[in-house]
Amino acid sequence: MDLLLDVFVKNGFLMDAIGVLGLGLLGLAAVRLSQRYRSWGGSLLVSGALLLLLGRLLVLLSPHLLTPELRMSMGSTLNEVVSIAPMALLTLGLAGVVWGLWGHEQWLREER
Amino acid sequence: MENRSLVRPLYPYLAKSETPPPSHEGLISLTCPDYLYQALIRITDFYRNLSSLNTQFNKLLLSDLQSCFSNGLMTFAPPHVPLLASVEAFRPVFMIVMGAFLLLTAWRMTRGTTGWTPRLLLGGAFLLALGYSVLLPLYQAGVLLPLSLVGRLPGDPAVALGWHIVKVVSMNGGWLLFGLGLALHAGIFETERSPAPVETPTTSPLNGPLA
Repeated sequence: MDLLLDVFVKNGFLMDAIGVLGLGLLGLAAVRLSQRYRSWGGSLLVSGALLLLLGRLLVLLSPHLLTPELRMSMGSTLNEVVSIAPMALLTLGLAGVVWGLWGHEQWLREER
Repeated sequence: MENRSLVRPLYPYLAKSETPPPSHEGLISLTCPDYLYQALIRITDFYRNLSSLNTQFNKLLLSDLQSCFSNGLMTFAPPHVPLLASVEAFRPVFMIVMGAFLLLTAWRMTRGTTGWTPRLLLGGAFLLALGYSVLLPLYQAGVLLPLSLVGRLPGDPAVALGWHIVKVVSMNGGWLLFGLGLALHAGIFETERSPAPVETPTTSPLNGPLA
């Protein structure tokens, strides 16, 4: 139980790193698909994976980067932008990944 | 004579501001009395507070809500069944559809193939579909308690910890498996064949016995 708490709650670095690593692999694979095989779904997949990676990194880094003093000095508009941005990025990224995967599947069906 | 104005007031009782409206005039005043309206506003505030992590949760509001529900005041609108397809619930519905479609597309892509690529792709897509279309909407609806609210809302912390672990494993592991599967599919880990000729050494028994 102690190890469980340690890995999953107190310092979830391992699981976060696994997720970020997977997103990076996804982006790399999508770049390969769109560059070498000329799959049009691959480029959509690249953009989706990039947006997801950005959003995830923002979510993971914002408690360390955005200190309360910085938030106070940013102003309300920028504060709202910063607080909404990760959710928007994650939503758009998910849409991009799913659409790109569908496009790649269509491409597989047509070209091969 | 005094009713000659071009713009007729929409609500004459508001213009006169003396006589209250009869209760049968507006449907709203009939079906939604004032205390109900206040309760609805409090419920929306409750969910808004649930969804935003940074706001301090108000314990007074919670006790108000609980006493309100225990009075049997809200009999037709159960508090823990959120509307699925409303404007506020756009994001959970989007995530449900996206998770299911991801699983469907991955299954269509890997149909009829064997090996580790379809296993990893489908395993990742299954975990992601579980996370996106089951767990995250439940968290957004307030059915599952996030770990950051464990001390402030009623609920078993062990159950919250268990669901948190399930969520973390399914989302992060799902992306890892899916990324690995797509990397295998794209051939990232494969290397090009070397143009150098491969020759068996002359001492090899494949070349036949030496003299």
